[in-house]
Amino acid sequence: MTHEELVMAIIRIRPGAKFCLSGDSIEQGLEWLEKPESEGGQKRPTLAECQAVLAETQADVEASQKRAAAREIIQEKRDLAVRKLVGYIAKDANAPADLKAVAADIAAAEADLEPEK
Amino acid sequence: MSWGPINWSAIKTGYSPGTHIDSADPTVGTEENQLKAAMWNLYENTMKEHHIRIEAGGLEGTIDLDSDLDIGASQYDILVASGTNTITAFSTAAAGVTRKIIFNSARQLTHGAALKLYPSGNRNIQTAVGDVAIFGSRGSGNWECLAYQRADGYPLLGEIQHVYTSFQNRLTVTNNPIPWDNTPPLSSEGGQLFSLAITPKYSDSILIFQANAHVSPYTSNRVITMALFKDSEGTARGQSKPRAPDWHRCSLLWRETAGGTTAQTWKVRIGTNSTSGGWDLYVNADVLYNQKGAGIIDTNFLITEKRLPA
Repeated sequence: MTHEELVMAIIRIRPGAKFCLSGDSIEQGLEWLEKPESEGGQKRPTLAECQAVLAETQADVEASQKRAAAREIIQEKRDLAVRKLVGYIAKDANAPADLKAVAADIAAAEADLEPEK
Repeated sequence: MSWGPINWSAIKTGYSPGTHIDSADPTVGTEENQLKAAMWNLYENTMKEHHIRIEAGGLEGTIDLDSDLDIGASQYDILVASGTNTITAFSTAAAGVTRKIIFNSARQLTHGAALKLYPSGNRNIQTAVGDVAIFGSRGSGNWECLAYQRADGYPLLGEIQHVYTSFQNRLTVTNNPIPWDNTPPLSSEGGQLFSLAITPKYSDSILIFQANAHVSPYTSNRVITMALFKDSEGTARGQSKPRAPDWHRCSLLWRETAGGTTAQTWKVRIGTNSTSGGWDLYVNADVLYNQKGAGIIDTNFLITEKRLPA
């Protein structure tokens, strides 16, 4: 684990705790500055705890990235479907008038989105 | 011309059995020996008249300084000295007599009118096995130490030694401030940056401490304290308190008397003050823990032992 990862993990495990971390080793570089637990201080974290919270954080990050990718795909497909529907509605003489009005508005707005030349 | 090893006691009696003279027995060939003795006397007187010293090169003797302080009377220029008694003076010898003494034991040489110890800046000297000194007589029982070489190579005066350590990685101190007030920092405040041990060679030496660190305070314009602690003492011996607007170089210069010759550990702690805002402090890094300095930054701690004339 890097220094940044260790600091993040400790802050997450023991919010507000006082500590001094030197380098990238929790065993050799962590000076735990909290009072003893008997006096209300927080317990010194172990390397296993730090690794666990880092793994958890990484899992959260991966899940978040997966959700963001899914949203992007959904948005893209939804846009494609809407474009096709707008086209069908515009050509369908039997389509309800209110839908035709919405399709015309969308077509006009998309025309405004034409890339600049 | 080489006369080889000389038996000075024989010369005093008017006869020299030097190796270049075949017969060493005064009972053999009396007339010849008397002639040789006369030749020796003539030679010795001539040398004395012209102030030429007969060197007994290559000879080394021993002396027990606990029972015999008459180093000048010894026939040897080099004396290996035994005994452990404190020495305040040697026996009277003619002015100009010099002797090289090799100590084979620990003892004290005491500086005084009769034994002036110039190489130590007129301080007493604790000898160690193998130390070498040159003493010169000024006559009337007065001796001067003209040179002294410790066997371990350390000098008696000047820069004796220095110990050094550097910190090239990152250090983060969180939520543990060192107050900006008129009280000395405590060992429970801030975070430890350095720990360095030194064993002074002399208790009356001066120890000079120099510490440097590159830091970023989480909140700008914090007062950064670098504090110096000895062993397990809870209160700082010295400190510096610069204000750091942002990325900043802090330094500390302090001096102490060594006070002993056993190992002592000196520590440097660092932290920001406790006014509102974040208390976190980062060494060799920015406030996002990103390392700075490429591993060759001058975040370091140096202890120098120096000794000046008394």
